[in-house]
Formats: sequence, structure tokens, C-alpha cells
Amino acid sequence: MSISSAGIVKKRLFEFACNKNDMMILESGKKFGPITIAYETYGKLNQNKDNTILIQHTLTMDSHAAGIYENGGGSGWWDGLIGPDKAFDTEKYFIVCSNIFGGCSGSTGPSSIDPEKGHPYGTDFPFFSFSDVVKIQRVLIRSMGISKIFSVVGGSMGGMLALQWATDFPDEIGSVIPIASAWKQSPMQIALSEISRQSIINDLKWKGGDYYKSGKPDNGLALARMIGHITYMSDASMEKKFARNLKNGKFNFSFDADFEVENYLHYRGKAFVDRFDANSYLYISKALNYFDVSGDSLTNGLSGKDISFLVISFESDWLYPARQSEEMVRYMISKNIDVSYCKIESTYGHDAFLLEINEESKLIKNFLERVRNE
Amino acid sequence: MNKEYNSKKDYRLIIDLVENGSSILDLGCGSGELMKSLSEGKNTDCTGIDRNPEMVSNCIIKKLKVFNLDFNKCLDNFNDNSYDYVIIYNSLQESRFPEKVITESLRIGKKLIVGFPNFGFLSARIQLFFRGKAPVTSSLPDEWYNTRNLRFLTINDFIKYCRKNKIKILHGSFYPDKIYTKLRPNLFSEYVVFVLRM
Repeated sequence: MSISSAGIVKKRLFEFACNKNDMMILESGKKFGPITIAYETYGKLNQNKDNTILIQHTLTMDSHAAGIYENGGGSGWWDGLIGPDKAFDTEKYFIVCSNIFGGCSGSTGPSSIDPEKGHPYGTDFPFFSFSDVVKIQRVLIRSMGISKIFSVVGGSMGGMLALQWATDFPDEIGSVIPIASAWKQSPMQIALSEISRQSIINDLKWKGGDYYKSGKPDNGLALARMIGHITYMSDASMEKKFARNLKNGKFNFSFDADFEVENYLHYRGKAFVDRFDANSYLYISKALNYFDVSGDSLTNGLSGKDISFLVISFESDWLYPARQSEEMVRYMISKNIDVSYCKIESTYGHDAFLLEINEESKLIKNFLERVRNE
Repeated sequence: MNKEYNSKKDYRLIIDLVENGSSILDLGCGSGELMKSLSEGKNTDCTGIDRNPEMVSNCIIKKLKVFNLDFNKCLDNFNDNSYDYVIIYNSLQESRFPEKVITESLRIGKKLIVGFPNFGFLSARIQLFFRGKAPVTSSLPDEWYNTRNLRFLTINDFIKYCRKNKIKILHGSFYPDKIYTKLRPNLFSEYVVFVLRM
């Protein structure tokens, strides 16, 4: 199968809440508008409008889940799973992926221009929760005439957004696939994300979030990304990828990067600052920390509903360990919810959900077919 | 689990015992062959539990519901009488906590179907008594060093256990299906399937 079998794709923009009286009321109580959401679609919406799969992205990704743009660039971040005959089969399903509210890849976020003031919102941007993100996505979905989504799917933070959908709109979705995810942010995850935020906030260039003219806090954001990347890998995957390999074949006897692994983290950090806004990182990671649909908040709305779950975790994922998925699955069992659960054996750590494409494909494809035929 | 023994033919022992359209929880479901046969033969609604991810993946490929969990540790999450049958087919002898698993299964299922190899089988006795070796039979196919079996029980052991715990034995199927196995099951049966109720 060729890379990018989803073909040429296009990023589209959806604008709403443009008038004072139809502004979005956020969980914090703040009213907000106008809102633009960037999104991409793959495949065709069928006549019954019941073949939609909503793909949720992670903290630092965007609406470009599959295919390539006309003017080139890389293929989408889940390209291996989306396309004709793939797990998310574009011949059968209508696939939607939107950049979340608060993001920086086309959707309204802190780096967007505040139309009233004529400059970026910065930290005037309202705090938001995943409930808000989902509520805003729903406006986009509804605008397409879709009243029921066949499946909501995502890895990592994307899995949490999928679970938020199940919590907030259980009547409007048929199935949920949370991958390498959790039903609440654990203290360890909160702690790690606080370090990432502090590294941005402590960059003198951050200036309380008002840096769009004076120069971005690249060092802080790069450091946040470096921390992130360590948590996405595993001891075994780092050993395999880097060992103790040296960048220049010998020690530098300086504080520059000696080892390949150091070099890799620096490279990842630098590449990230070119495509991501530091304030978006702060706001989204804050929303992540607020996320908790554990226990009855998730399951109360699900009882007696025709909704199926496929929960997938990975053996070596220590950022969102299998334990968290299992806790959720076991609770769902006690509430008689239709759930299947698989812990894939992988050494890739949290990144496995982007890399174990073959194994994920088998599970997702067959699960979706089962749900479709029921 | 021995694949050769676990052939579709032997699933008939179980399939014949199950009522049409019933709900089933299969503990140690492996790759889901039994659940598939049950769904096809008796239109049952099956859910499996297996701790091996590869097996679980095979179940999902077969469009079955499955939990990648250890049935020794997760049964307390299931509600009373939430399934028509709990099936423990060829996995009780591999359990670390068989007593707990049986008790929990009787709580979760309206009925419990248990199938296990009989350690009291004539050939096993001969091997142990006359040749002084750990028995290897078609239902106990592995050597001591590679068997997954942790428990070595006979039909009589199991019946005694049920009596002691006031578990009702509703039915027993003995394999092979011969007159002499019915007369002296503990001596002549290689394999047994019981249907139990609390």
C-alpha cells in the first residue's frame, strides 16, 4: 500500500459564533466568539449520514491526520490508518479530523487575532475544558447535517476527547476507541505537564504570554517538547534507537550535546517551535489536567445505550500506562457496558499508538465492522 | 492449551450443553475458537477474557467481545447473574486461584460449565504407578517442564469439592463417549465437562 493513500487533502475552515448573541458559553462561564475551527475530511458522507468517524488529535498535533496537501508537505500523522481499505476505510467511512479549540493550526487559539483589539489574544484567551472543545466540535459536526457519529477515536489526549464525547453526548455516538489514553489525568501526568508549562513560563521571552511582537519563548517551548519526548518513549525504545551512541564519535568535553539522544531531543525541540505556539501549549495542557470523567461521570450516561467501546493500551507506555485503561475497562464491566480491551505488546512506549499501525489496524477494522453489523 | 486436543469436534461437548441465544462469558478464551463456534452454532452473545494480547487480538479479528485481563484477578468487577453461562474450558487447571475462580464464576453466571483433563485417567495412573513418570496423555499433552497446568485434579476430586461446597452438578459429559466411561468416569475418561449451579 502506498504512503498517503488518502490522496490530496485540503484544510478547511468553519466559522461560527460570529455575532454577539450567538457566542459560545464556556465551562468557566466566559462567553467567547467568533470561533474558527480548521478541519479536514477524508472519504464521503453517505446518504443516511451515519458513516462519520471523528478522529481526535493529541496535544501537539492538528487536523492533518491523513493524505498530503496539494502544495506538498508531509503526510498526515495517522496516514497509516486512514485511506482506502485501511483501518479507517475511506471507501466506507466519512472521516473528520478538526484542530481543537485553543490550538494553533488554523483553529481559534491564543495566537489568533482578537478582532476587538487587533492583536493576538495571548493570555486574554479564555481558559477552556475538554467539554468546551467537544461542544465546539459538535457545532462543526452538526453543520454538516450529521446528528449521529459512528465512531469517535483518538490516541493519548485524543482518546480523552473521545471519552469526553461519550460523557457529554452519549446519544450522538455509536462507538468510542480510546487508545493509549485514560479517563482522568493522573498526578504523575499533572506533574509532568506542570514542568512543561513552567519551562515556558520561566522563559523570559514569554512575558506573561504577550510575546507575539517581541519574539517567542522558543527555548522554553523547546524544553517543554524535550520533556514531552522523553515521556513518549520507553527505556527499551531509547536503548534501541540511541544506545550510548555519540554524535561526533567522541566526547566533546563541553556542555554541548555529546550523545545522539541529547542531539535528538534538541532537534525535536527546535523543530517544534517552528510549528507550535507556546500559549496554545499552556492552555491545552491545562485543559488536559482538568480532564476527569472517571467513574460514574462517564458511565452514568451510557447505561442502556447502544454504544460500544474498544480500549487499546500498550505494554511499555509509562506515560499513560495500561493500568489506567484497565481501571476504566473494569469499571465499565461492572456497569454492563459493551467494551473490548486489548493491551498490545510493544516496546515503543507511549509513541506506540503512532507506530504499531499493523496491530492497531487489525483491531480497529474488525471492531468497527462488528459495530456496523450489529 | 494444546491446539490438537482443542479441536472443533470437542467443542461439541460444550455447544450441546448451551441453550440457544444465551449470554456467555468464556474465561481463558484463547483465540476465540470456542466462542465463534458457540455464536455460529447457538447464536450466543459471547464475551471472552484472556491475558494473552495475541489471543485477544485474534478474538477481535473474529468480531468477538473480549477483555485482555487476567481472569484470576478481574472477576470481582462482574455483576451477579450477569451471564447465562460462565465457561471455564481447559483453563481451570492453569489457574492460580481455582477456588476463587469457581466461586466467582458461580456468582456471575446462572450456570457454570467447566471442562478439564482428568488426572485420574487410566493411562495417567499407569504412567505414574508403573513407569514412575509424570503422565502425558492426549488431554495432558505436555511434559512437566513445559505444561501450563498448575493443578492436577481428578473427576472424583472435583465432585468431592462440589459436594463440600454445596455446588449442584446438573450434568456431566465424559470423553470419550463410551459406555465404560459412563460407568467408571474417573478411571476411563480423559476429559470431563460439568454443568454446575450454586
